[in-house]
Amino acid sequence: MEKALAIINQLEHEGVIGRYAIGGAVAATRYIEPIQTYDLDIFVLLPALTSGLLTITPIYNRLMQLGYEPKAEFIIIEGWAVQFLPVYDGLTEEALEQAIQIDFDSTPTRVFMAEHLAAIMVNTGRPKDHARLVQFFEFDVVNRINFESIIDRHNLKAKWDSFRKRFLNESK
Amino acid sequence: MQKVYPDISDLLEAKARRRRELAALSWEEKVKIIQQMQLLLPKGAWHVRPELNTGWQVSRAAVRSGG
Repeated sequence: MEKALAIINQLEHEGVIGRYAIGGAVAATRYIEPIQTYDLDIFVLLPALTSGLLTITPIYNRLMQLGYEPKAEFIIIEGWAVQFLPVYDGLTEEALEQAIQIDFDSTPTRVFMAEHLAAIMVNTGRPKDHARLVQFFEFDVVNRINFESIIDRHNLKAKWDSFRKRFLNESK
Repeated sequence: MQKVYPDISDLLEAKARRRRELAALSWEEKVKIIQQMQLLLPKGAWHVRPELNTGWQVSRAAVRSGG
Protein backbone atom coordinates (compact mmCIF):
# COMPACT_ATOMS: atom_id res chain seq x y z
CA MET A 1 0.00 0.00 0.00
CA GLU A 2 2.97 2.28 0.58
CA LYS A 3 3.64 2.54 -3.17
CA ALA A 4 0.01 3.44 -3.87
CA LEU A 5 0.16 6.15 -1.20
CA ALA A 6 3.33 7.55 -2.75
CA ILE A 7 1.51 7.93 -6.07
CA ILE A 8 -1.45 9.61 -4.36
CA ASN A 9 0.98 11.98 -2.60
CA GLN A 10 2.44 12.77 -6.01
CA LEU A 11 -1.05 13.74 -7.26
CA GLU A 12 -1.44 16.04 -4.27
CA HIS A 13 1.95 17.68 -4.85
CA GLU A 14 1.11 18.20 -8.53
CA GLY A 15 -2.21 19.85 -7.59
CA VAL A 16 -4.27 17.19 -9.37
CA ILE A 17 -6.07 16.61 -6.07
CA GLY A 18 -6.37 18.79 -3.01
CA ARG A 19 -6.00 17.52 0.53
CA TYR A 20 -6.79 13.81 0.84
CA ALA A 21 -7.23 11.23 3.60
CA ILE A 22 -7.84 7.50 3.83
CA GLY A 23 -11.33 6.48 4.94
CA GLY A 24 -13.39 3.29 4.67
CA ALA A 25 -12.33 -0.19 5.73
CA VAL A 26 -8.57 0.38 5.42
CA ALA A 27 -8.83 3.35 7.76
CA ALA A 28 -11.07 1.38 10.14
CA THR A 29 -8.41 -1.33 10.26
CA ARG A 30 -6.06 1.16 11.92
CA TYR A 31 -8.35 1.02 14.97
CA ILE A 32 -9.81 -2.51 15.03
CA GLU A 33 -8.88 -6.00 13.82
CA PRO A 34 -8.11 -6.44 10.09
CA ILE A 35 -11.15 -6.40 7.80
CA GLN A 36 -11.54 -8.26 4.50
CA THR A 37 -11.53 -5.49 1.90
CA TYR A 38 -10.33 -4.94 -1.64
CA ASP A 39 -10.68 -1.19 -1.86
CA LEU A 40 -8.67 1.77 -0.71
CA ASP A 41 -11.09 4.68 -0.22
CA ILE A 42 -9.45 8.07 -0.67
CA PHE A 43 -11.57 11.04 0.39
CA VAL A 44 -10.42 14.09 -1.45
CA LEU A 45 -10.95 17.77 -2.02
CA LEU A 46 -11.12 18.39 -5.73
CA PRO A 47 -9.73 21.56 -7.29
CA ALA A 48 -12.61 23.36 -9.04
CA LEU A 49 -12.32 23.66 -12.81
CA THR A 50 -12.61 27.12 -14.37
CA SER A 51 -16.23 26.21 -15.14
CA GLY A 52 -16.79 25.75 -11.39
CA LEU A 53 -17.48 22.04 -11.87
CA LEU A 54 -15.89 19.41 -9.64
CA THR A 55 -14.86 16.26 -11.46
CA ILE A 56 -12.55 13.31 -10.89
CA THR A 57 -11.72 13.06 -14.60
CA PRO A 58 -8.34 14.89 -14.23
CA ILE A 59 -7.33 12.35 -11.58
CA TYR A 60 -8.06 9.45 -13.91
CA ASN A 61 -6.33 11.20 -16.82
CA ARG A 62 -3.15 11.78 -14.81
CA LEU A 63 -3.13 8.24 -13.41
CA MET A 64 -3.56 6.77 -16.88
CA GLN A 65 -0.58 8.89 -18.02
CA LEU A 66 1.35 7.23 -15.21
CA GLY A 67 0.30 3.81 -16.52
CA TYR A 68 -2.52 2.88 -14.15
CA GLU A 69 -5.73 1.32 -15.42
CA PRO A 70 -9.29 2.23 -14.46
CA LYS A 71 -11.54 -0.71 -13.59
CA ALA A 72 -15.23 0.03 -13.00
CA GLU A 73 -15.43 2.70 -10.30
CA PHE A 74 -11.83 2.11 -9.23
CA ILE A 75 -8.38 2.70 -10.59
CA ILE A 76 -5.76 0.08 -9.87
CA ILE A 77 -2.65 1.66 -8.32
CA GLU A 78 0.19 -0.65 -7.36
CA GLY A 79 -2.19 -3.55 -6.79
CA TRP A 80 -4.81 -1.60 -4.84
CA ALA A 81 -8.29 -0.82 -6.17
CA VAL A 82 -8.37 2.86 -5.28
CA GLN A 83 -11.62 4.80 -5.23
CA PHE A 84 -11.43 8.59 -5.09
CA LEU A 85 -14.44 9.97 -3.26
CA PRO A 86 -14.99 13.73 -3.20
CA VAL A 87 -16.15 14.87 0.23
CA TYR A 88 -19.92 14.68 -0.10
CA ASP A 89 -21.32 16.32 3.03
CA GLY A 90 -20.33 18.38 6.06
CA LEU A 91 -19.32 15.30 8.01
CA THR A 92 -16.85 13.95 5.43
CA GLU A 93 -15.54 17.48 4.84
CA GLU A 94 -14.83 17.87 8.57
CA ALA A 95 -13.31 14.36 8.72
CA LEU A 96 -10.92 15.34 5.95
CA GLU A 97 -10.03 18.68 7.58
CA GLN A 98 -9.25 16.97 10.90
CA ALA A 99 -7.62 13.80 9.52
CA ILE A 100 -4.52 12.59 11.33
CA GLN A 101 -1.16 13.09 9.62
CA ILE A 102 0.88 9.90 10.00
CA ASP A 103 3.52 7.81 8.27
CA PHE A 104 2.61 4.48 6.73
CA ASP A 105 5.98 2.74 6.92
CA SER A 106 8.04 5.70 5.72
CA THR A 107 5.43 7.35 3.49
CA PRO A 108 3.45 10.27 4.90
CA THR A 109 -0.31 10.10 4.59
CA ARG A 110 -3.52 11.04 6.40
CA VAL A 111 -6.25 8.89 7.91
CA PHE A 112 -9.65 9.74 9.35
CA MET A 113 -9.91 9.89 13.14
CA ALA A 114 -11.77 7.00 14.79
CA GLU A 115 -14.54 9.37 15.93
CA HIS A 116 -15.23 10.59 12.39
CA LEU A 117 -15.15 7.05 10.98
CA ALA A 118 -17.63 6.02 13.67
CA ALA A 119 -19.93 8.96 12.88
CA ILE A 120 -19.78 8.16 9.14
CA MET A 121 -20.75 4.55 9.95
CA VAL A 122 -23.65 5.76 12.09
CA ASN A 123 -24.81 7.88 9.17
CA THR A 124 -24.33 5.23 6.47
CA GLY A 125 -25.95 2.53 8.58
CA ARG A 126 -25.42 -0.54 6.41
CA PRO A 127 -25.17 -3.89 8.24
CA LYS A 128 -21.38 -3.96 7.70
CA ASP A 129 -21.13 -0.44 9.16
CA HIS A 130 -23.02 -1.56 12.25
CA ALA A 131 -20.76 -4.61 12.64
CA ARG A 132 -17.62 -2.46 12.43
CA LEU A 133 -19.08 0.18 14.69
CA VAL A 134 -19.70 -2.42 17.39
CA GLN A 135 -16.01 -3.30 17.18
CA PHE A 136 -15.00 0.37 17.56
CA PHE A 137 -16.76 0.37 20.93
CA GLU A 138 -15.69 -3.16 21.84
CA PHE A 139 -12.03 -2.19 21.37
CA ASP A 140 -12.67 1.15 23.06
CA VAL A 141 -11.04 3.28 20.37
CA VAL A 142 -13.63 6.07 20.34
CA ASN A 143 -13.45 9.12 22.58
CA ARG A 144 -17.15 9.36 23.50
CA ILE A 145 -17.09 13.11 24.22
CA ASN A 146 -15.51 13.99 20.87
CA PHE A 147 -17.66 11.47 19.06
CA GLU A 148 -20.96 12.70 20.52
CA SER A 149 -19.95 16.26 19.72
CA ILE A 150 -19.55 15.22 16.07
CA ILE A 151 -22.89 13.39 16.23
CA ASP A 152 -24.60 16.55 17.52
CA ARG A 153 -22.92 18.84 14.99
CA HIS A 154 -24.06 16.73 12.07
CA ASN A 155 -27.59 15.97 13.27
CA LEU A 156 -27.05 12.25 13.71
CA LYS A 157 -28.48 11.92 17.21
CA ALA A 158 -31.55 9.92 16.20
CA LYS A 159 -29.47 7.40 14.26
CA TRP A 160 -26.90 7.17 17.07
CA ASP A 161 -29.58 6.67 19.74
CA SER A 162 -31.15 3.93 17.66
CA PHE A 163 -27.79 2.20 17.17
CA ARG A 164 -26.61 2.36 20.76
CA LYS A 165 -29.91 1.11 22.16
CA ARG A 166 -29.99 -1.77 19.71
CA PHE A 167 -26.33 -2.82 19.63
CA LEU A 168 -24.67 -1.43 22.77
CA ASN A 169 -27.56 -2.16 25.15
CA GLU A 170 -27.59 1.45 26.32
CA SER A 171 -31.03 2.51 27.42
CA LYS A 172 -30.37 6.17 28.25
CA MET B 1 -31.59 -38.26 30.82
CA GLN B 2 -30.17 -34.76 30.66
CA LYS B 3 -27.79 -34.00 27.79
CA VAL B 4 -24.33 -32.85 28.81
CA TYR B 5 -22.62 -30.28 26.59
CA PRO B 6 -18.90 -29.52 26.59
CA ASP B 7 -17.65 -26.32 28.18
CA ILE B 8 -16.15 -24.22 25.39
CA SER B 9 -15.49 -21.10 27.46
CA ASP B 10 -11.71 -21.56 27.09
CA LEU B 11 -12.10 -21.73 23.29
CA LEU B 12 -14.18 -18.56 23.28
CA GLU B 13 -11.68 -16.81 25.51
CA ALA B 14 -8.84 -17.85 23.17
CA LYS B 15 -10.75 -16.42 20.21
CA ALA B 16 -11.37 -13.17 22.06
CA ARG B 17 -7.71 -12.97 23.03
CA ARG B 18 -6.66 -13.55 19.40
CA ARG B 19 -8.98 -10.73 18.26
CA ARG B 20 -7.47 -8.38 20.83
CA GLU B 21 -3.97 -9.33 19.66
CA LEU B 22 -4.91 -8.65 16.03
CA ALA B 23 -6.44 -5.29 16.92
CA ALA B 24 -3.26 -4.32 18.79
CA LEU B 25 -0.99 -4.89 15.77
CA SER B 26 0.42 -1.89 13.95
CA TRP B 27 -1.58 -0.53 11.03
CA GLU B 28 1.15 -1.67 8.64
CA GLU B 29 0.97 -5.22 9.99
CA LYS B 30 -2.83 -5.22 9.73
CA VAL B 31 -2.70 -4.01 6.12
CA LYS B 32 -0.32 -6.89 5.34
CA ILE B 33 -2.97 -9.27 6.71
CA ILE B 34 -5.58 -7.61 4.47
CA GLN B 35 -3.27 -8.13 1.48
CA GLN B 36 -2.86 -11.80 2.42
CA MET B 37 -6.66 -12.12 2.56
CA GLN B 38 -6.89 -10.50 -0.89
CA LEU B 39 -4.45 -13.10 -2.27
CA LEU B 40 -6.31 -16.00 -0.66
CA LEU B 41 -9.60 -14.87 -2.13
CA PRO B 42 -9.24 -12.41 -5.02
CA LYS B 43 -12.12 -10.01 -5.58
CA GLY B 44 -15.08 -11.71 -7.25
CA ALA B 45 -13.38 -15.11 -7.17
CA TRP B 46 -15.67 -16.81 -4.69
CA HIS B 47 -18.05 -18.03 -7.40
CA VAL B 48 -15.39 -19.42 -9.75
CA ARG B 49 -13.52 -21.67 -7.34
CA PRO B 50 -13.62 -25.07 -9.08
CA GLU B 51 -14.05 -27.12 -5.91
CA LEU B 52 -17.17 -25.14 -5.05
CA ASN B 53 -18.59 -25.61 -8.53
CA THR B 54 -17.93 -29.34 -8.35
CA GLY B 55 -19.68 -29.61 -5.02
CA TRP B 56 -22.65 -27.68 -6.35
CA GLN B 57 -22.89 -29.90 -9.44
CA VAL B 58 -22.65 -33.06 -7.35
CA SER B 59 -25.35 -31.91 -4.98
CA ARG B 60 -27.61 -30.87 -7.88
CA ALA B 61 -27.04 -34.28 -9.52
CA ALA B 62 -27.86 -35.99 -6.27
CA VAL B 63 -31.08 -34.02 -5.94
CA ARG B 64 -32.10 -34.84 -9.52
CA SER B 65 -31.45 -38.54 -8.98
CA GLY B 66 -33.23 -38.47 -5.68
CA GLY B 67 -30.06 -39.57 -3.89
